[in-house]
Amino acid sequence: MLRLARLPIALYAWRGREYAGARTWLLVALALLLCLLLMLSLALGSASIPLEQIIATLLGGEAESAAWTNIVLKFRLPKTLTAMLAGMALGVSGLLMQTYFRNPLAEPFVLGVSSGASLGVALVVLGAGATGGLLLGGLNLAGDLLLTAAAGLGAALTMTLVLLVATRISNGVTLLILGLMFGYLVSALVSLLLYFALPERIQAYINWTFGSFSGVTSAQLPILALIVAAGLLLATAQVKPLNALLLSEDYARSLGVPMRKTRLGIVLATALLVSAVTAFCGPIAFIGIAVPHICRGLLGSSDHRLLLPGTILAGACVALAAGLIAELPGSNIVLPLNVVTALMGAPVVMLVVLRRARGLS
Amino acid sequence: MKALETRALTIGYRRRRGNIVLARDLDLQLGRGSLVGILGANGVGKSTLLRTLACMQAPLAGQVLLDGEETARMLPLEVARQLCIVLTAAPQVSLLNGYALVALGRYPHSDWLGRLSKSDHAQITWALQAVGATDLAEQRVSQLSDGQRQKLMIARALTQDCPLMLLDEPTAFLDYPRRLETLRLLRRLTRDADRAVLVCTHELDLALRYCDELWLMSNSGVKVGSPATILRDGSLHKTFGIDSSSFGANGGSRIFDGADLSQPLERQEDSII
Repeated sequence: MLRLARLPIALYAWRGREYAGARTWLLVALALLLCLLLMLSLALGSASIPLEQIIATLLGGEAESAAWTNIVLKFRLPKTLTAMLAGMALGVSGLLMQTYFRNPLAEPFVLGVSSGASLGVALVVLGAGATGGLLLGGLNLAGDLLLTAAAGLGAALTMTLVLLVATRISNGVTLLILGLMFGYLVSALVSLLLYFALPERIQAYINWTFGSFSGVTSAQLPILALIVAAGLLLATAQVKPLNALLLSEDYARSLGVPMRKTRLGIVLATALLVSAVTAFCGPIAFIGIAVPHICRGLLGSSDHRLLLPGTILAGACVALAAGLIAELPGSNIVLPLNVVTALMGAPVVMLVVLRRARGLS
Repeated sequence: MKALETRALTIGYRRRRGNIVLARDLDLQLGRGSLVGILGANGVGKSTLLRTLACMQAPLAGQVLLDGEETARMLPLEVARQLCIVLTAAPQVSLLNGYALVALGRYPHSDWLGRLSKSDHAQITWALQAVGATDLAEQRVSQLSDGQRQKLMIARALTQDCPLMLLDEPTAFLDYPRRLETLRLLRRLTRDADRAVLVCTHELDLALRYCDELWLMSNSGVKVGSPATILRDGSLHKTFGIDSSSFGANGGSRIFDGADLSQPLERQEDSII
């Protein structure tokens, strides 16, 4: 409560002249929206449970029926928290990459980092068939850790590759094309693996590519939360260098930004955030690219001291909303998450590109 | 102690098949309170020299000293407190106001979040006044002209509060009155704020008129001298390969007084050469 009471003071710090023209109060609005969406995500689902029962269960009590307690604690709560964490992680990783590459279209998915993670997961899921599949027999903790490690390794390797290329080529378009080509390469490799894999493993992989927030159990949730928290902390430590990077890499260096350390921080943070989300929820598209743009538009600022909290809040909101829409509350159908994020995110990206094109001409 | 000093500095680029050397064994000095211009033909290595002095690229040999301390042994933050730079093109930053752009200059002095203290705000306000950009403080940088943005970039360099300021053709995209204004501002800074300013430029006439000292760069090295001596001994003419008679016989620091200033400067230089 004390923390909450200090929020207005923290926002008051954002009233300096350097923030003139920015809509800082929207951070509060985003926080309130997040609370609302968290409630909705817990309250809506295929089974209708009265709100006071849900609140009672969350506060540690028992609902009237044991099934309700079970649904809330074992399904809706992990799903809601996963969506929130994934949205935060994807939004922030998109922000980091867009600023670092000075490219509005940069995001983990476009630059092939998610493809790297996919290859890692494909190797584990599909390759496990050949080695007897002992690790993926059940959804045990070691298997999930292996999956996360594979996705993480894939993401980190790709990110390093992208950065190695990026240090030689400062042209963003070239980098994007290389990222796309890397994505094609990886999907070719995955196709090759699929071609030789067992049918049930193929189904498992395809389900993974649809993306989902509901595959994370309460036992796995702490791992996801820990990695995302580490990534977000690392990203927070880069706020000041990121602001300097708005000028250019040369100017940032002249301001005393330790470029090697900063680059490493950005890569590590992105790799942690993307790999954790990709491993636990699948390759979720468009949240990473759309959320930073939504935030810049809403807050009216490029300052990362506003944008970082903004993308954390907005990312969580967008992911929760996408999760809600995918579940089609009141029905028993669950849409693939990537269908929803693409339908929501692609128009945003198109709008940004069109607005830029108009601004240039 | 000189604000900037080089010892046997060799500049150029490292290549696998032999280094490309642009100038060797440079022993240059720059004291506080003086405005120095680097002149030279295209491709002779002016920008490379400036980038090497600013620690943006490593020298092939020799040392750069800031206030007596070797830059190779300094942390990036320590260098940032000694020297600031302004590059040719002002960066395009969307969604920041002029004040925030200038405030980025406080980077080496502020805390981990870059929060501004009262003295930071005072410094920023002073810098905005110094370059005459107070009215740009609350405008979006993306809506400003090249000249206005460059003004803010110079203000940003001023807020960095360094004894040494390096500028790489800061006036290339500006119109003539703005070029004049910028050079005047730089000269005023060296006088009033006791800064050492090193500016790389193609504006021969402005450099001759406003600089205290000129570094003439050619393939044979760097020649240092006051504008008057450099004009008198003919090294300016030699550097640019121009016939001394085309400058007018009386020389002096106002060589272009007879030239038509309504024309773009490049055109004038062409007609002179």
